[in-house]
Amino acid sequence: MNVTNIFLDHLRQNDHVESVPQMIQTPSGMAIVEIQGEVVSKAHLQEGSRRVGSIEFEEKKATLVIDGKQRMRGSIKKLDKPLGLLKMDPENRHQVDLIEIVTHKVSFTDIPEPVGAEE
Amino acid sequence: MKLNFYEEYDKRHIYRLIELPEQIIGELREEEEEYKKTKELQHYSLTLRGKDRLVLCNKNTTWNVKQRSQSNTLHLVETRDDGLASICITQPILECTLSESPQLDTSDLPCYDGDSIMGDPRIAKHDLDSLRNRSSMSGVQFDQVWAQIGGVEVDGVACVLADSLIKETIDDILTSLASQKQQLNLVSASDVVSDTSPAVVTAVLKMFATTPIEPYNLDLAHIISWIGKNALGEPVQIEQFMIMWKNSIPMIFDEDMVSLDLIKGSYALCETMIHKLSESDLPRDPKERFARLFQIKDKWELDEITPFIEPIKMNKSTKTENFVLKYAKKRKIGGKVMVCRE
Repeated sequence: MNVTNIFLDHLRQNDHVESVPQMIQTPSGMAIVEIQGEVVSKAHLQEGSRRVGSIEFEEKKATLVIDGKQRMRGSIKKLDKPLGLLKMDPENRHQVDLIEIVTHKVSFTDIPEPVGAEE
Repeated sequence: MKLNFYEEYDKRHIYRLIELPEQIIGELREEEEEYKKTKELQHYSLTLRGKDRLVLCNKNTTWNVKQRSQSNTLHLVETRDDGLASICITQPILECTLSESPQLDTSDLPCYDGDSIMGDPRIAKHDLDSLRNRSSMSGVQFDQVWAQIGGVEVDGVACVLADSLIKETIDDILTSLASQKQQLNLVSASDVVSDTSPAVVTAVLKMFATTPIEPYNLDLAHIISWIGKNALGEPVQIEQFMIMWKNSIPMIFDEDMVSLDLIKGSYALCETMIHKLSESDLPRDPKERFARLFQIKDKWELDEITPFIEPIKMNKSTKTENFVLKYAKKRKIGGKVMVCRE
């Protein structure tokens, strides 16, 4: 029997929380972005950060543009049930940190459309 | 508001999303408020337990945890100065459903008969705290189940009581109470005169009490039912069994309380004989189970067969009457619904 304790991380913080719309602001700055299919990129193969596109918010509406080539339209949606975000250290299996309780997601579930030449 | 979207995977950690039950969300929010006021960490007990089957437990409730796959990709993103960075693509969401009555597997537990602890020497023994920690249920539920099964810790070993010792202790309890003309609703372990240890007396009192702490409120119908089930053995005439059952209860009581309804699901009536029959001894496969039941007798009253059928119904909301039609015939004989071989 494996027993893992879950601890809510009270010390979580993120100084850039206000960079995103209020509905997806969380104390830790973590949020969920749902995308139909998958974003094909090689970011996981390389170290460090790679810009793959942009997200534009206009109230509840959101537009995701990947590599300047594909556009997905979406919106901020309330989750049916809040999701706890668990963070595990593979070296320490007896403890899991609950780093956030997320209540909204940014959802892009429409079919991607090509970005026009004017953009 | 236009933001950059980055990918910067965190390869040092594993992230999972879990659908949290409302009760837990409420408790976490309270904990958070408390922390803001006092700045003291007072983590309340929340654990993920299990190996093959995962459960989520707080102090008093257990939820079964299952993975729910989804076709869309969920990116976990971190807010940055100029945008959002996807730090991982999460695995299937963990979904929690309330576990109504979590079970404790007692098959590996040693048995205590009053003199010695008997058990398979190849199976590791545990003390009570260790057993509680290893169980797939919350601490409060474990204590309830432990009391219901007559669990006791003897010399640092968590054991279940042998039926012979339970019966002996019930006799001591009822005899002591009768001699002191004491009611069954306010019983303390110190009221009981017994040769068995105080721990065993307390375990038996808890087993039949409707209250978890002293003074115990003993449930006489539960005691009579246990004595009846314990008296079942080799097939005997029903009348003979009823006399034997009544005579096993060492106190004056309303004899109308002794009824076969109290031990439903533990016997089969075959003409004038009563046979011991335990649901756990029957095959799990429904077809095989019906075949075994019809080996015992060709026709069962629906009421009598129901306890042997309920546990194998895949969909618990299906009426037993309808479920049996898959494997047997239903007839009305003399105003009673009978289940017969196909």
